[in-house]
Amino acid sequence: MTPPRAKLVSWGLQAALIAAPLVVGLASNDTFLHDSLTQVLLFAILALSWNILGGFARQVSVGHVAFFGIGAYTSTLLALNFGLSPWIGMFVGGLIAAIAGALLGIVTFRLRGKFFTMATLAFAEVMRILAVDLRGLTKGSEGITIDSTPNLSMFVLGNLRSYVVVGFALMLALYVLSVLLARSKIGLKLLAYREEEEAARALGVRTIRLRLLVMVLSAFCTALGGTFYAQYLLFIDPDSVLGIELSLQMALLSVVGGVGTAIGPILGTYLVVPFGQLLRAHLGSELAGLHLVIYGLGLILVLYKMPNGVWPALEGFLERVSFSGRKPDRGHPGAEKRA
Amino acid sequence: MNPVLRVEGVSKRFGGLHALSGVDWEIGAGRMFAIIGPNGAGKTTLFSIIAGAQAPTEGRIWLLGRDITLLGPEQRCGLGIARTFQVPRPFAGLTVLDNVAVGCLDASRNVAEARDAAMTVLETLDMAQVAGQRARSLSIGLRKRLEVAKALATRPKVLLLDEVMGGLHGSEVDAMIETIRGINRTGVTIVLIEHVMPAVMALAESVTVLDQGRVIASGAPREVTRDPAVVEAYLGDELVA
Repeated sequence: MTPPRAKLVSWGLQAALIAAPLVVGLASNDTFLHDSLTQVLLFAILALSWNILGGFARQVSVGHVAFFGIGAYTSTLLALNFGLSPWIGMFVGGLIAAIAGALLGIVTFRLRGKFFTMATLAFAEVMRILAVDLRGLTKGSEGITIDSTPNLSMFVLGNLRSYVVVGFALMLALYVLSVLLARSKIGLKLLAYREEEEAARALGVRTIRLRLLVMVLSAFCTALGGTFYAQYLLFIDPDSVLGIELSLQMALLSVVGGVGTAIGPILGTYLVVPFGQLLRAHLGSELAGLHLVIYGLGLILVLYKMPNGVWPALEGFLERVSFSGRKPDRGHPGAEKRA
Repeated sequence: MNPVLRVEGVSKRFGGLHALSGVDWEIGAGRMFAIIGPNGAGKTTLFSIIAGAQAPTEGRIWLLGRDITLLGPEQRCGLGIARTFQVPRPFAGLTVLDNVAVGCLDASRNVAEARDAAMTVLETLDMAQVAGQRARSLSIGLRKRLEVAKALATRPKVLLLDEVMGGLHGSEVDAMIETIRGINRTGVTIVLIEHVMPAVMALAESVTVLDQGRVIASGAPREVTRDPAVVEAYLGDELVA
């Protein structure tokens, strides 16, 4: 059991981590910094969304970019063709992504582990190819440019700082959702499901329904991130919103920070995304690809030292410190079994 | 006898292997039954089919007059069938309390309520003192006990106990016998798969013997253990030894 003092420190640390980008964003006037912060917040939103399925249910998806793309295209096309505000289109995109997630979940409900992962990959590729080929609807590879005249009601914000605020609000909402989910009956069922599926079913856990539910929720949240991205960059094309790298990135950020924890995806994003940005800025023009090599080595090192991710390692450290002499219980859900 | 559970002509084949062949069996409400037989006789397969973890190749399963053959284990759990696993399957990273609370979730409004209910179950099984430990840290004896606690948490009508005495010491066996008696006294029908014969003799009102997937004898423990076919199939070595 976590001692109260460690728990307090842990919550304090989480609050500080969450608030940091907002505080820095509001305090600074540097547009480069605002741009970096918005990207970090966007990735945190995506990592949190991915973590609902990949972390809490340990269903590793490498096709989440499909939901991201559905979100981006839905709100953008609704705005372009029907003048619907992306603030509303965002939730329409979420609903469509949720339906797509439900269909994918139904089709793949028998698949486990890497077979499920492969199916999600195929799903995302189908979406990307559709976006390229349905030129009449999506303008294909040419992409869609969104009118950049600032207009709050159309989710085109006048300055970068406002995007930091919106990104922060979304990230906070998803964090709260993750915490509530983890503490709910569903959260406990998910813990049981990912530890021992057959034993969980024997205790009455309806695992197929459970998987579907988190899939739908995760898809919905990812799509919200898609709209945020589209309204930030004001340009979308199949490669940028449906490219496979983005799916891998979502998974990676959670894994580095700690899958299945609410704060893990946020911490992972804070560590990995700026690291990548800095490397690219400082080494991108040196030897071609050098920044990627260092980036990769850095990730390998972190995961070698902290196989459960940085946050669980940090929490374990806090527990050990506050136990002062007593042997800590180092067990952590999923420490032995990782997808 | 008022049958709570009825197994009708159940067969299970794995490729060419006949794990079960035409098993007919029924058990009365509120009583205690045992299934014995040599290793590989099909006992655990029969449990899995009753609990819904495996589908029979042929035959039907009835619970309180309702055909449940096509239902999954989670639905059967809701109807009142609970089972333990021969090799304990704790949710290793969860606390003992949360392991049991999973079984209480369907009858509770929230996790806190489920944990309260789980604590009551742990108290009746004399496990309250390990409630806060992670399940992976438990000894084999406590793991077996945890299996019983989890199954009991679902408030079953029929409790299937798969070798819960295996690997326990003498005093632990006695304690487990008392525990099972206590559960039965609350009206739960008990079915044991058991190799520990003193426990079978102490608990079961009726014993069914499986050998190579067939029922070869059924009846009161004393009579069944004297049946020549049973002695030959299973008990011979142990009685001599």
